[in-house]
Amino acid sequence: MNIDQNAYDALQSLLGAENISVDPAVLMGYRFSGITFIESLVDRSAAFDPFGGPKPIAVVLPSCAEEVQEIVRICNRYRIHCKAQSTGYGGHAMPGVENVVMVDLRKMNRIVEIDEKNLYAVIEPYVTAHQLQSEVMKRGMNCHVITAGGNHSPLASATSFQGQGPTGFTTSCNQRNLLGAEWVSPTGDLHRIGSPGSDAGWSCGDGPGPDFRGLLRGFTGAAGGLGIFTRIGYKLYPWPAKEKLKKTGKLPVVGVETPENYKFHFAYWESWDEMTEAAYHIMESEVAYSTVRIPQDWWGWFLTPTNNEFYRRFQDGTLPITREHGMHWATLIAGRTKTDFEYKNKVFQKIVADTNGKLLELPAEDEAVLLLQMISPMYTQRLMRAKKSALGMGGPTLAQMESMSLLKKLYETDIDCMKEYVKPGGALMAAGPDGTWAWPSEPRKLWTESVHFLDETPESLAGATEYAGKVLGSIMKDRGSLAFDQRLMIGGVNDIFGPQLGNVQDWMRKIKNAFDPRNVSDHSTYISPEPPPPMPMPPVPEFK
Amino acid sequence: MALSEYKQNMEQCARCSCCKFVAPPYVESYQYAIGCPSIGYGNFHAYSGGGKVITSLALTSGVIDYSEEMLKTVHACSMCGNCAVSCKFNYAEKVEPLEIIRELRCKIVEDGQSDPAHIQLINYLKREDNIFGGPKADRSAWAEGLGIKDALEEKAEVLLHVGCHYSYDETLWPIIRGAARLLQEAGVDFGIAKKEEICCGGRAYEMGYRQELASYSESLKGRVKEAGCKILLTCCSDCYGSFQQLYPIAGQGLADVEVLHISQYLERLTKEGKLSTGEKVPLRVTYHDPCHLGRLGEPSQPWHGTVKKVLNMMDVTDPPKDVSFGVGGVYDAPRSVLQGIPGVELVEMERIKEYSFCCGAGGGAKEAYPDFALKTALERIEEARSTGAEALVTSCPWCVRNFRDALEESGQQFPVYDLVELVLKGMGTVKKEGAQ
Repeated sequence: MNIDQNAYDALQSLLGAENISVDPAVLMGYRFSGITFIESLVDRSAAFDPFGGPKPIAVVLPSCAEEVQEIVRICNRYRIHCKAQSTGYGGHAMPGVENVVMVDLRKMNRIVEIDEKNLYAVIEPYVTAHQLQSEVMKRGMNCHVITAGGNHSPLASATSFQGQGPTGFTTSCNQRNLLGAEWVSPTGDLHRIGSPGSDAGWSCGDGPGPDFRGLLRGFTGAAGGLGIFTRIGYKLYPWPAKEKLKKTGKLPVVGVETPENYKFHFAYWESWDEMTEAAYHIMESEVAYSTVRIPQDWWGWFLTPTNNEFYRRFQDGTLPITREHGMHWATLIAGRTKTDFEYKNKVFQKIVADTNGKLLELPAEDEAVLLLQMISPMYTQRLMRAKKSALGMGGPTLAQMESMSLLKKLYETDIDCMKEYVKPGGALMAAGPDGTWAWPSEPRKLWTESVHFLDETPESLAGATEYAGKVLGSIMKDRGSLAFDQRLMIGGVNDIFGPQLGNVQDWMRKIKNAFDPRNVSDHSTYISPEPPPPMPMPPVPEFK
Repeated sequence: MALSEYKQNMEQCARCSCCKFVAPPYVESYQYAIGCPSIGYGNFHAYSGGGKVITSLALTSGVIDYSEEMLKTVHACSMCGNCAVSCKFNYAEKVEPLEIIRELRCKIVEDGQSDPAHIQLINYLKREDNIFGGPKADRSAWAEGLGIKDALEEKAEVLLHVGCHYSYDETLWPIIRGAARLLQEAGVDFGIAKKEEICCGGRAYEMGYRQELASYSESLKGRVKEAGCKILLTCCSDCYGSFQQLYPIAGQGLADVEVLHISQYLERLTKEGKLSTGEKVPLRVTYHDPCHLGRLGEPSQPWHGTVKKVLNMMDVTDPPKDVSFGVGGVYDAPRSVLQGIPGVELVEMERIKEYSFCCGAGGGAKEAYPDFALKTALERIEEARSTGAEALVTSCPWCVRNFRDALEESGQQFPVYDLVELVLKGMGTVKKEGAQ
């Protein structure tokens, strides 16, 4: 499909010839689906053809909100869809409908302001988390970096998706880090939401000024399906370390020296109950800066440069973290002062001892590597080398914003459901008995995500889908609904699972149609304007 | 390997955009987070390393065909290898964007789609054995009056391979003559191949001319053998990178001779007490790592094997591939030499060593897209200035020339030195006798 010549002329006139392309090779960069995403659960045929989806008819590079407004107006005028993208990591960043202009926000990459006193930054879409983190750390602050890694866009994550990183204990999750926002609606109007809506700075999303963040992003975000965000106020948090982080090791196994008044601990337990009890105490005492649990084999992926080296050490039994250490919290303690540090460190160690936990002594070079991951995560990048194709990069997530009391149940469920598929020759990668990550977040709730690697074969995908069904069946059996998992709510999935979630799809559709009467924003990762034909729940096997 | 043989690698690109930035652990600021000069120039994703991987997959899958814009995304690229280092931080050997881009360029040449500027360079190469078009007979004109022996006539321990740039760019002759004088002062038994010296073939290969690398590497290896030297020394980082990374690809690895860059040799001579820089040079400098001396100078061997699956589906290579992460380049030697000069204070830029930012001159980009080379060089010079340095030092004729050209073209002033020039200052040679 080609772009209407008049529309092309209008866009070129607005942006200049160097900022618009309809060249097929250039457009493929905005079609290629790098990571298999949730659609693998819905449409198996779409999963592994990197060029299989709709192709954009043009890509444009605006430099400011006014240009974005005009692009959207041109799309309205010529009945063209548009979809914005920042770094473009993940299939949801790609077009899902035909006749779409991709809006690459690469040129809108300014850190507009860092307000140290009021702990926020004003950023544009293409500022990456690592860029922002590197600048705010110089000023004694930190920002949330989700586990997708530091080259994601915090603006995209906060406005249009969601995510969690290991510092979530202190830095919450990205949908909660959104303050004021500047938004170009699907009709091309520019709105400022929260305090910037009344020219009162960017520090508050609630106002003074209109606040409709809930409508625009909900929990999961519209993933580009509802206008384009061009600037946000973004929460920052204190970072106690005074010195610049000093790197250790060499690529790709890079670490960081432990800053003064910091300590990394790898604590482990022999039962989920004890691990849960410890989590409650850690949250209650607020002594941690970062805490995370990931599938235990995966720590070895950080500590080795290649799959070959991981597998060699895995077989040799020379990796320091083994399957004995599955029930663990990797934790970073950060003190403002020596006294503060000693108190927190002592309390943490007492919690571990009181809950029958143990502290694992790691070789210094390994500890340095894991410490860096606790500060500035590159989890997804370092882990995706094991296998690029993952079950929905979240797959059958078991809980987000949930009670820590669910920890034991979800792990036992995951392990039970997985065991058949991680046997030799199974559909999933045999990288430990479970695939679940967990964070004591904020610190008041449990956030978990499950990541399962699968092969690019129909057999593997079928097995993985079957596994996901088992997990869903288990949750349905236990809880009677799927209300646990809002992360699944992307695109067409809303119409499948929405009835389980208070008919959220109906509300989303009303919002979509109200703000986007001409359906200009690519709806494929949000909600279609019209309900699709009835879609049954995928078969959910009975869980035993 | 032909481009189509990289299909599995290409499909492994996750489009994570890491290739656009310096390797994730080394992002130290907002300003200097970008590592890919090409995306900085063209902005569309296709200009990035990952973008070119996607282009390659689309081309070999028949999804796209050649177009002017497509070729620009490929050729407005200095082949600096940042994408490979950043990608491998995540994916190790699974994608190999630089190898894919090299093969993409070879396919472009095979399909008759070469850039006109590259064709001209190759015509020069075929006619005169150098890419500048200077007469073969003038190859060693730079050495006039220095009394350097002909290594093909007289046996010498060290064969100094000068390279095309030093041989034919008279503005750089003070550097190469200075290097020769340093060797003479240190009592090194060295010679040059005089008019028999030929291009290393590396630049041709980077432009996609595989056959030229094959023939020139074979010829050059033959000359090295004929010379019977123990050390093959070069002052050109491009040549050094070719010897270390590209010759093994062409099946012409130089295993029988020690390959050294002048920075390494100067360090050795200093440690052995054969060179001494006693003259004070009060100067705060920053050092620019040339790509071909750094990450592209890391010795590597081509891998031939199969990918096996373990743990049901984890890909491992059999035999294990020796993955080049860029850390084995020449980084310490030039810094050691600099710091050995009294009065020189070395201050580092943010993007250094294997995550250094390119000068913009490589891969035929300067010839095809001079505005790309200019923009990239000025960005690097700005980074150098930001350190508070009074001068930029590097160790590559391409970098020196491109920085100086960019400064002149933009009307800016900032001293740019080759490492050899500072050593000469440190030895007082310039003051006493001049390098000419």
